[in-house]
This record gives sequence, C-alpha cells and structure tokens, in this order.
Amino acid sequence: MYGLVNQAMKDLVTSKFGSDKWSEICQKAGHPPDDFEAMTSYPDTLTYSLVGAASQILGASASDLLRAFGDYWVTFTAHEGYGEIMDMFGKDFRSCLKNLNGMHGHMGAMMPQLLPPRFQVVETSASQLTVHYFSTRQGLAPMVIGLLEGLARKYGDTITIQHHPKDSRSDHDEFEVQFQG
Amino acid sequence: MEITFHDTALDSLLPFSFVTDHEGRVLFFGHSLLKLFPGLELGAPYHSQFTRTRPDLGNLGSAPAALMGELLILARLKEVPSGSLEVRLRGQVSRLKQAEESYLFALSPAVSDLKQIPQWGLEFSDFPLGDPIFDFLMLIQGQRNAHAKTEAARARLAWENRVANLLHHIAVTSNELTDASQAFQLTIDAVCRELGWDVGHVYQRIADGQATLAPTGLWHGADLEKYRPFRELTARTRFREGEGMPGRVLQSRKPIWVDDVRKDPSFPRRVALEALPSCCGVGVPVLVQGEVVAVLEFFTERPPEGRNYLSAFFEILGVTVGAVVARQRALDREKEQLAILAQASKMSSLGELSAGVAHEINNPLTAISLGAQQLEKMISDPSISQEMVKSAVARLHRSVDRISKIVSGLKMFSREASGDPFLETPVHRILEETLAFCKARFENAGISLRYEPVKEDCKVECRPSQISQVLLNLLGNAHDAVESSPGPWIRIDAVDLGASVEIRVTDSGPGLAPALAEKIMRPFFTTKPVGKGTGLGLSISTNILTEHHGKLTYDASCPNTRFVVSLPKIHPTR
Ligand code: HEM
Repeated sequence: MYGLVNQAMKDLVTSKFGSDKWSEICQKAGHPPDDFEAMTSYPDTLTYSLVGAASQILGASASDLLRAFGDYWVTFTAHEGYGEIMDMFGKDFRSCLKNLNGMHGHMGAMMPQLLPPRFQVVETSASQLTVHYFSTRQGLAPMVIGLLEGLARKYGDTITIQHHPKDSRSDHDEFEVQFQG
Repeated sequence: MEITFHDTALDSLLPFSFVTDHEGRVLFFGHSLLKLFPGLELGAPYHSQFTRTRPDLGNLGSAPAALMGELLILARLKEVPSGSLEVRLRGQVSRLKQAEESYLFALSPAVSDLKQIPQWGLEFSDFPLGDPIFDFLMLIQGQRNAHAKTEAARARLAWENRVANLLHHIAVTSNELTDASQAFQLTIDAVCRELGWDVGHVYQRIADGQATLAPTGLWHGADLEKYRPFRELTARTRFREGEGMPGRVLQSRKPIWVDDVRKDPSFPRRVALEALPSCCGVGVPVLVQGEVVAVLEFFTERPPEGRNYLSAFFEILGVTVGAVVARQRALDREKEQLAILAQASKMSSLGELSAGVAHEINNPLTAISLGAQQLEKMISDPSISQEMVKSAVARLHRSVDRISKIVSGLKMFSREASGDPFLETPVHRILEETLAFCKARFENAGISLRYEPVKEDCKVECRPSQISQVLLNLLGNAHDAVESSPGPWIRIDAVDLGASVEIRVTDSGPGLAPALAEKIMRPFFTTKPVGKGTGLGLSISTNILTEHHGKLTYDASCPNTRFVVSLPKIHPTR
C-alpha cells in the first residue's frame, strides 16, 4: 500500500499515544520509525505487521485499530491535500459512496501502483443502502466500517452499520447502512 | 444515417466529444459536453456554436476533413454565477465513417487546475477514467500534496530549530546571571522577540505564608496604548493558588494555555483586553526544586502553532530560569551566613583581645597620670618655664591620642565592614594599627615581636579594617602556636612586588605537617583544643581576601610557619 496509508497510521498513533509508542511499534515491526514517502508503494506486509505490532503494544484488537484508522483516514486525507479531490467526488454521503470507484480509479493517475478496492452501492430504501466491498486484500472490513462512519460524520449523517462478513453465502463483505432521523 | 452516440463506447470514453457530418453539422454531442454547455444545438454547424482558435482560420476552411491531423482548439462562453467565462476544448478530428462521411471531434476540456472543474459545473465523474488531461491534473495534485508536506515539514523543522536555539541562548545567557529579575527580563524579551509573542510579564510568588502571586514591573511589549488598561489592571491584581491563569499555573506546576483570554471566565483580567480582536495566553511556571517561584505569562493576538512542542519548551524554560533564582537564593544565603559568622568570629577574637587592649591602654594611662602629677608640681614651682609646661602638656596629648587611636581602632574593628568602600591605604598603617592591638599581649606572653618597617609609599586598595582582621587572626594563631615553646618569636613584614603586596606573618614554629597544610583553609577546621578556636578564622579570612581579589596561602617553603596575605595594589573591579 502507498506510504500515505502507513503515514496516516503513524500520525494516528503518535497523536493519541505519543511518538515513543510509535517507535516501539516500529521496532516490533522491524521498521525504522521514520516518516513514510506518501507517493511510494510499500509492501502490504509492512502495513499488516505495523497493525499487528500496534495491536500488541497498545493492547487493542486489530479490528478496533483498523476501525479507528478508517475513521481517521477521512480527516487525515483532507488534511494532506486530498480534501478538495474528495469534495469533488460528491456533495453528500451517498454520492460520495457511489463515486468511490471512480475516485480511487482517478487516484491511479498519481499512484500508478494503486490497488484500490471496489464498491457496489445498492439503495434498498430511502433510509437504507447496502455497500458491497470487494478487495484483493484480507481482513480490512473493520476499516471499511470506520471509513463509512468517518464519511457519514463528515457529511453530518448519523448511521448504523450492520456487517455481513463474507461466508459460504457470499464471496464478499456487505455493509448494511441505516440512516437515522 | 442514424448514430445514437450515447449508445456507443465513444460516449463513455470521450464524453466531451461530438460527431458531425462532412459539412460540420453536429449529429451527436457527448453527455459531459452537453452538461458543460446545455445550450448546444444538434443539426447546427459546430462552427456556429464554437469559436475556433486553432488551427488558423485563414488557410483552412471549417470543413471537418480539412482539420484532420491538426491540433484543434474550440472555445465557447459559459454562463456562471459570477458572469460568463470562456471554456476551451482541445483535441483532434478523425473520420468516423467513410461512406456517410461523419467526423469525430475527440475533445477534452482544457483545464489546468482541478479546482476549475467544479467552477464549470462539472464533477469528476463527468471525466472518463484514464482521460489524459484529467490524469495529468491528478498527477500534479499528488506532487503538490507531497511537496506541500515536505515544505511544511521543512518549515516546522526550521521553527523547532529556532525554538531550540532560543532555549540554548537563554540557558547560556542566564547561566552567567545571579539576579533573578535580570533573568526574567531577558527571558520574556527573548521569547517575545524570537517566537512572536506580543506581550510578556512576570508574576512573582511573595512570602506571605500563603500561595500568592504578585505582579512585577517586568514587562515586554506592553508599551502600546492598546495594552495600557491591561498593564494597569495587572499592576493591581494578585492571584491566589488556583485563581486566574497565573494561579492555575501555580497549582498545576505546568504551562497552561488559554485559547482566547477575552472569552475565558477564569481569566479575571479579560475586561482589560476586550478591545483586542483575539488574545491567546500562556502561563509558564518558574520552578525551583519543584516549587513555583514565579509565573511568566505571554500573550499574542495570533494563536501560535505547535503547542505541544511549545509546551515542552516552556517547561524546560521554567526550570532553566528557576536555576538562576536558586543560584541567587543560595548566594544570598551564603553571604548572610558568612556575614553572621564573620561577625561572630570577630566578636570572639575581640574577647581575646580585650585583655591585650586593656594593657595597651594601661601604659598611656600611667603616662597620663604621671604627667598630671608632674604638672601639678610645676604649677606651684615658679622656676618652671612655659616651655617645660608646654612639653609636658604635649606629652599628655600624645598619650591621649594613643588611647583614642586604640579606641577608634577597636570601634572600627568591631563593626560590620563588608559594605565599606575600598580605600587606598598605606600598608605600614595597617600593620601598625593592627599591632597596636596585640603588642602588649605578645610582650606579656614573652613572645618577641619583630616588625620590619614598610615604606611609606607602599599602598593597597582595600577595606583596612577587614585586612586588620585577617592579620589579627594570623597573629593570634601564631601567638597560640608558639606561646609555650622555647624562645618564641613572631615576625610581620611586607614585600612590595610592584603590582601587589605580600604581607607575611612568620612564627618560630617548625611549620605544618603536609597533611595539615592541606586541610587548614577549610571552614571549621581547628588545631586548637575544644572551646579555644572557632575553626572559622582562616576560612573567613580567605573569603575576605577573595573579595579583595587577593589570597591567603601557607608558605610550605619557609622553614618556620609562615602565612602569606597577597593583595593587588589596585582593586580590579574599580
Ligand atoms: C481522498 C480520499 C482517499 C484517498 C486519497 C484514498 C486513497 C487510498 C489509498 C492510497 C489506498 C491504498 C491502496 C494501495 O496503496 O494499493 C486506499 C485503500 C482503500 N481505500 Fe481509499 N482513499 C480515499 C478515500 C476512501 C474512502 C472515503 C473510502 C470509503 C469507504 C476508501 C476505502 C478504501 C479501502 C477500503 C481501502 C483498502 C484497500 C483494499 O481494501 O484493498 N477510501 N485508498
């Protein structure tokens, strides 16, 4: 994954737990505690081992960390200069979701190694939609929950999410999003 | 001919393009082009709907076939909320169908910044994935983001560097100071100047038994008229622990930030800052052994970045400045104690002296009484000449002079002299006045006192009574050392070395054992029996001589016991 992702992880951990904790995490993951090059692609295994080490050192489950990370990603990218791009992909939560594939697709122009996920959004009623999440990677579903929550907050929506993990019934994760009020 | 353009792959790949017949009449518009220019008309020639800026109209017609292989730029005005603006499209023409002669104008909007896209009423989803112009803009944006990030990091680094340098500067400069007020002023000046704070002020803890902070006259940058009310109110405002920003710093012993003091109910002085547009404040504890002795406060109309870093800086700053306060306190305490000790030791040597002094006074008194008897006789003897009377009276005067000299010397000796001015004083006078106190005492003890007269013009700049004290102490030590030895003697003399003078007190003793010589200058060290000496004589003498930029040394090279007092002729701080 691109350095932007790892850097966001670093910023999240240092802002919440301090830079000493991040150094410990890096040490455990066998990586120097330097900044990451946002526009350089790093092996996925690095990201996974950072999450694993963070989970051990901070005493939080990997899925809680990924969820917090997803939520943080929305504010982090805005702060790193991608806010305008995101704004141009949708004026509200729904349109933004529908444009996610296009946005990640366009993102490939600046990040040629990008391997983005694919989403399919199905509106099931006026107050409900289902997000189908397809990825070549494993175990990132909790991050999608955080991302959806962060995105909803950004547009002032209150949502509840029900996660249907992939199983024998379905080959991908599904998220049922219910709008409140 | 029937082409449903939006059914074709072209519409999704080239949504800003259109198709014409061989005369340029538009058959189809791409959907994003129609979204951009809702007024476009099917069937009308493209050149009546667009201005063509490339290629040059002069040598080419507007027939699509003639434009093939050229860079094509078309423009059209677009109505936007702020008026109208020209939107350009770039691309090229190619033949779409041979038989019916239709032409594809494959175009893309000429955008140079992603921000133009929403201004034109378009969204990113109106561009096809892989559109070269759009991709290029994304690429640029990505570079820009990365660049901004490095720029921000660089600026941040430079700023952190400046803060660190500032701390270093304050630490080094204040390290030479022993005056806390000076250190406070230096600190608030430097912080305001280097970090762009508008106003700095110092609250100081006062010794009232309770934790109270009182304002000081130490300010930076508050001369401006707009800060006058604040300055005046501050001068009248004290804080107890927990009250106001300074009081909360006193309580927490940590820097405390107030985003906008004008709006903070726990900032009682806010009324005096209401005229400002905004005012961020920070209170910084000055710590001595974990205790707040003062609070530095800073204010600025522009809230500063990097608070975490600044807080850490302020914490260290408080301890650094605290070190000066601690140093000043220690010095004051030391001075005070030394003054008390010096006085005590003087009093005790005074006691020792009184016996000798009584003897000193006894001699002239006897002379006076004899002289008076003589005069009495002379009055009744008419053969006595005026001259003889006069000389007898003169003898009386001399004796009285001698007594008053001793008494005034005694007075001078007993008072606290550490604040006296340094006076140019002949060395012989110091020696003679000193000896006047103890001559008789030595004689009584059978110690022979040898005094080598010193030249009149040999002078030193000193506090004479303090030097007398030093010499008396040395003479007293010598007295005690040789008192019970056979054939005791003590010699006092002075050597003029040009820039300095050495006064030497030598006694008939055999010198000190080397181990003793090393310890002898330490405070409370004494070789005398318990109750006889305070052990402070030599260390107080050393202090007196340090103030004189002189020194007291033991001369191990002398076969007898010899102490040497060296004094510069001119006191260097003058
Ligand atoms: C401007 C905002 C965004 C940017 C710049 C961005 C960029 C990226 C990048 C760089 C990756 C790493 C993929 C790689 O390096 O191969 C990624 C992955 C991902 N993004 Fe985004 N993204 C943005 C917004 C979103 C949003 C709003 C969602 C909401 C659901 C989302 C969902 C994901 C997911 C789930 C992944 C994980 C990859 C996977 O599942 O295989 N992204 N994105």
